[in-house]
Formats: sequence, C-alpha cells, structure tokens
Amino acid sequence: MGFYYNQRVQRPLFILCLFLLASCKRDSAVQSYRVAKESPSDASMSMPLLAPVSEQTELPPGHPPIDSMTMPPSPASNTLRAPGIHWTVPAGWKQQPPSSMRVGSFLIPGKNGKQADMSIIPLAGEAGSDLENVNRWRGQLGLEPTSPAVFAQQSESIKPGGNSMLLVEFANQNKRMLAAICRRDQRAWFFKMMGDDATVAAAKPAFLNFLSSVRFTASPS
Amino acid sequence: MTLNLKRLLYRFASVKYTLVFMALAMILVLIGTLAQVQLGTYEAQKKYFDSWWVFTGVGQWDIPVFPGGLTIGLAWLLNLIVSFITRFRPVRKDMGIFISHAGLILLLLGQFLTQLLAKESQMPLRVGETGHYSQDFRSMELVLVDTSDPKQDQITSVSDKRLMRGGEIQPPGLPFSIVVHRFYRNAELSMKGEGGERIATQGIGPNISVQARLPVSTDEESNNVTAFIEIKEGSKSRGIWLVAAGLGAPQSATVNGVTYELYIRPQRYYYPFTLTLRKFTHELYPGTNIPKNFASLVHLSHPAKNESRETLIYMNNPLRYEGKTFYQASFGENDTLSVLQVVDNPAAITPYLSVILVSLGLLIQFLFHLMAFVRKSA
Repeated sequence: MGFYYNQRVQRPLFILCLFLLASCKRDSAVQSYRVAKESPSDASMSMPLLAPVSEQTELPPGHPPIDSMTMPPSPASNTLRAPGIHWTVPAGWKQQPPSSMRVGSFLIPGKNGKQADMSIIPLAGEAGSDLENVNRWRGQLGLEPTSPAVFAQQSESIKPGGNSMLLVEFANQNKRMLAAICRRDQRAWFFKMMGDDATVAAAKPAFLNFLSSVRFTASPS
Repeated sequence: MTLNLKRLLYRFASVKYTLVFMALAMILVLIGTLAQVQLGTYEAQKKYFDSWWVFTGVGQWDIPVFPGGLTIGLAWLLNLIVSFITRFRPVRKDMGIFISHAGLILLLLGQFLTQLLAKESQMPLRVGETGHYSQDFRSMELVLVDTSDPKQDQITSVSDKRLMRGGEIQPPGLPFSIVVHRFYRNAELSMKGEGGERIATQGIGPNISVQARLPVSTDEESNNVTAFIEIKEGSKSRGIWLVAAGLGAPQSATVNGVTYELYIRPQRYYYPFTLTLRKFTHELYPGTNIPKNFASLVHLSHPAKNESRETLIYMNNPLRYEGKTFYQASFGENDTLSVLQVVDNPAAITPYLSVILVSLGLLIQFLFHLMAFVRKSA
C-alpha cells in the first residue's frame, strides 16, 4: 500500500511542480533582443487619450462594458517628425493636428479638467527679437511688457540635447506660460506651453525633457 | 512514506477541507468584488485574486489577514488531487465521478496557470497604421536602446519588478551594469529646489526632484514609475540618471563610444507578424446612438510564413493567431482609432476541456444510475 500510495501521489505533484517552474521562466526580468527600427507609420507608441465610451455612445443591451479598464492611461512616449525636426512626446500629451503655423501641437491634460496648450512654430529669419516676442506673449497673459534688464534676469540660457535655447517662464493669477526659443539655420523655433497655472507648472519637467528630445535635421524647404 | 504522512494526506483529502476552501473562495469573491468600488477592477483583482495573501496596513506594517486567490486555489487544487488519488478507484461504478473530478481538477489547474502565465496587452492602431507589438500599460520596463545600427535597434529591457528589487543588474551583452539606487512605484516630479529627492548627476535628472507618491489604484489613473539608476563600467561610475515613465522622452548615455537611449515605457511584446488597420467600422442602429457593431478590418502579414491576408475583428469574433487572441476592445478619435486587446493565455483551452469532462462524467454517472434503476424495476 505504501509504495502504491507513494507513486500515485508523487507523479502528479511532480508534474504540477514542473508547471510552476515553467511559469517562473516566462516573466524574465532582463531581456535583450533586436527589433527593426520604427518608422513614423508604425503604430503609435502612445496610448491615445480616449473619452470613456459612455461619453461617446451608448452600448447595446447585454454588451460587456468597454471601460477604461481596457484603456488605462498611458505614460508612454511617441517619436514624431515634422520637416526639419523630430521629437519625442512625453506621456499624456495629446497630439493635435498641426495648423498652418504649427508643425507640432499638443494638449496637456491637468487635474480637474484643466489643461495647457503646447505649440511648436518655426519662423524664417530672426522673427523679432527675443524681448519683442516675450513681451508679445506677456501681453497674451495680460502682463505688462518687461524691460531688457529684467528680461535678462528672468530668462535662462539652456542647452537641452545640445541645442542652445532661451527659456522664459511667467504667469498671471490663473495662467502660466513656459517658452523656449531656439535660433538656428536662419530660422527661429518657438516652443510654447500656455494654459492653467498648475498644469503648466506640473508639466515643466516633461517640457524640458521634450526640449532635450528635440533633434534638428535638414532644414525644411 | 511514513505512516504519519500518509494519515496526514488522507486527512487533507477530506471533503471537509473542500468545503472550507469553497467557503473561503466565496468569502474572497464577495470581499474582492465589493473592494472594486474603492480600488477599481484591476487593483482589486491584483490584491484579492492574483495574490497569495490579502494584506492590510496596520500602522507601518502590512499584515496578511486572509488567504489570497492563489493560496485558496492551490490548496483546493491539492485537496482535489490528493482525494482523487487516495479515494477514487478506477472502477466502472465510479467512472462518472472519476471523470467529473478530473474535469474539476483541470478547471482549477487551468485557472491557476492562467493567473500565473496569461498576459494581456493592447495594440492601438489608427487607420493605416501597422503594429508589430502590443503594450501592457500596467507594467513598465526600463529600456536601453543601442541605435547605432541603421536598420535595427538592440534593446535591453529590465522589468519594473526587477527594478523594484534594487541592487546591481548586469544586462546580458552590455559592457556595463546598472545599479538601482531608488525605485518609486509612483512619484511626482517637480523642478529642483522644491524639496524631494535629487541624486541624479546626468541627463535631465539634476534639474528635477522626485517625491514618492502612493501608487494610484483607480482604473483611470496610471503610476509614474520612477527610478534613479547608476551606470557602472566595472568599478567606474558613469553617473546617475533619473528615469521615469512621466518623462517620456529618452535620455542618452554614452559608454565605450556607443550611445544608448534610456527610458521607461510600458512593457512591450513584439511579434514576428504585423497588423495593419485598413478600416474601422462603427455601426449604429438606425435613428439611435446605440452601437450595433464595432469592427476592425486588419491586414495580417507574416513574412516568415509567407502569409498575407485580411481579416475582420469584431465583437465576439476575435482574431486567433500564433497563440494570441486579438479582441476588439475600444475605439476613439472619431472612429479613426481602434484598440485591440491582445490576450496570450497558454491555458486558454483548459476551461473548455474541463467543462466537457465534467459534463461527460455527470452524464455517465446519471446513465449508470438510470440503467441500475431500470434494471432493478424490471
């Protein structure tokens, strides 16, 4: 009886242990592999921001819920290119269609439905002095123009990703603007984020990292 | 085998234990379901069902208060297996019960394997886009990408679970090691000078301070997985980088003249085939906003198999290919975006087999009793 018993118990348990061992192997912590380079037409690296389905349409009776469980928000990134430039979009930034002026346009969602707008605009030539542009932007926030001396104190020269840029930041009671100007190859590039004060402030690390991802290629024709 | 162990096994095979495990499972299902209101579906599932123990926080301690789904499932499975072995004999009279119990064991084993092995991920495709990987937005990975080859990228991936364990990691094929100094399941990044931790010396990190945040649990939010990692070439440090899912854009590190991009992204699963979204259809019942059907017409291309064909994925009609199942899961962006849910479950077949076995067993048992009854009354 003992022998019989022993054999019959041990074999299935042994098979079960093999299954468990096999399961450990599947979740390898460190992996190395080669993949083909991604082209811009490849599937988006970012999870698009979707409105819950309930806001879009009603579901038919009996249909399983399609909710945000199947669509968790993404902290992914997205590499995109426009003529003369490419960049990687930080997580959560929602891409907007480019306009006649903008080669890149994003919506940055904040808390409680607040948001900020980000634009990338290239202009030929000098496109005005830095101070002129900044004062024009200050006007958009209802702020007084600043003097050259104050401007020199409040602006910061940065070099994200090896590109020299001028960084400025100012705010009124509700809104904040964060902007960088990069001048190269007879062209001025304006990276401007404007919107809800807290949203723009919270997005500043992502904005700076976005700037460091910017790579200029051949000038657009 | 000693007599004591044999006795212990016989006792464990008792149906009393089966009932205890069933009762525990019922309680767990109840509290796990109720907890979904607070935690959201995913976190509740993880905490109550995909766990060995259910923990609760008492002060600074996490104390196990109830067996988790895996513990109850495994105990129940072992109880069934042991009773199957010790109590059942393959005699004709008990054949139906024998087969039904084998089906039950398979069902539990299948669920156990599903919880351990199944992977779920998403493949969002806009019309015209081609996808060759899916992403698990619940798990993150640190990737180091060598982009020096003009055609292919060499990717080294470290899972967030491995980062969480900390210590030194020696990725295969790389001339350097990674030391994890800090790991945060969720963190808020802010500009330097506003408190928080800042130990990075390279990349964007020196400008940013990190404050730990409690992991979010609702289905609508996601964690900003963050870590401070040091790149070491032998004993020589190349600096400390801040990597975070919320930073999005890659940073770079140069070692031995090779530049690596490094960033944290959702865990990816690459496939040897591609899917291109040709068309997304969203039909409504006439005169209403009630959807009648969501359908994605995709083109499947598998160069190694010389396969190229179109297939339609719609509700209750997923694409099953190479062990993966692609379901129509969601859509957006004015019906130009379709999201496919990719399920890779090697144990997917087990519920079907177990249902067949249980039904067959019950049928045999019923017929056996019916025949005995008919024979008796004749």
